[in-house]
Amino acid sequence: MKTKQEIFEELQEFVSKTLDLDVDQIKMESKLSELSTDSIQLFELLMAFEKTYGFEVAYEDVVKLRTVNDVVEFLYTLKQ
Amino acid sequence: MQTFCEAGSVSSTCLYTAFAREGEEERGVLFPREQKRYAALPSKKKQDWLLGRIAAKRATAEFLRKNSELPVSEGMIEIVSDGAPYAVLHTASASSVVAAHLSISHSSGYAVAQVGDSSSVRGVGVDLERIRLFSPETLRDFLTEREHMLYESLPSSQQAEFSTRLWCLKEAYTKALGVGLLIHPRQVEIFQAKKGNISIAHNGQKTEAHAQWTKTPTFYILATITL
Repeated sequence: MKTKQEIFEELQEFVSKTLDLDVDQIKMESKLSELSTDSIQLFELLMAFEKTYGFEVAYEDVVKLRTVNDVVEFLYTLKQ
Repeated sequence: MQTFCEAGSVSSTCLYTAFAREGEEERGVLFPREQKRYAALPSKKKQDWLLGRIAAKRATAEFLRKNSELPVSEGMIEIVSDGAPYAVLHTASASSVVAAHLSISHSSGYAVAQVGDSSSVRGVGVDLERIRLFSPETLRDFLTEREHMLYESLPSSQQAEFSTRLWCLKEAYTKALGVGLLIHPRQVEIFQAKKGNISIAHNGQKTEAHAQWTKTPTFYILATITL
């Protein structure tokens, strides 16, 4: 079972690669919409979440996640 | 529609559109809460975010000057954007939420915002994107089957502009509804991407919307939808 901190660190790597950002710029309180350059990049990030975490995650659930912390909490709950 | 490459604003009877571009960044326009948010942004995102705020404040100020007695020049406009954005005018005596629809978009050094008088329109949505070649995966993700077939039928020289235009119209429509990406772009189908009224199917239900789009000399698509 991963801790929230481990999920956060994995997510930092994932988002930094997807959005071409430095890992230390991705904080718990960062808003996904503000990490993305534009709406297309935000959409691509949301789709990448959906594909990476498989069929368990529906777009309707993913799109409601606003901050990195929301994603961490969501993934943590998913793994329980 | 005025080209967004020119800074400034343009108004119709109920719509107020303003633009901002690279070189016009002025952090002094930010309300303290906005300054805090700006400081927390990744460095690569600061410029576009700030330009979006500047365009939104310009459009809101123009709207207020034409539609209210509020002392716009003596106050400070704050743009709040948790979900659908809206503006608040702070003056020495009070803070008032501006009763109007607001939509903001920015892309690579340019920003646009539109304010719609809520007594005249049900919603406004703008989207600005640099014309780009989408990956095959992203195209499948946001185009409907019919749109994808149309895309495939075009000469390759027209595909980037066509797909960017469809993205912008879908995004502008969902912003006009006040929900943005909460609606999956594939649930929205564009039937007539011509200037003027377009036909949109949302979850299979057809609806009409007033749409404008323009391709700029700098290879961006700017789309606006008014409901």
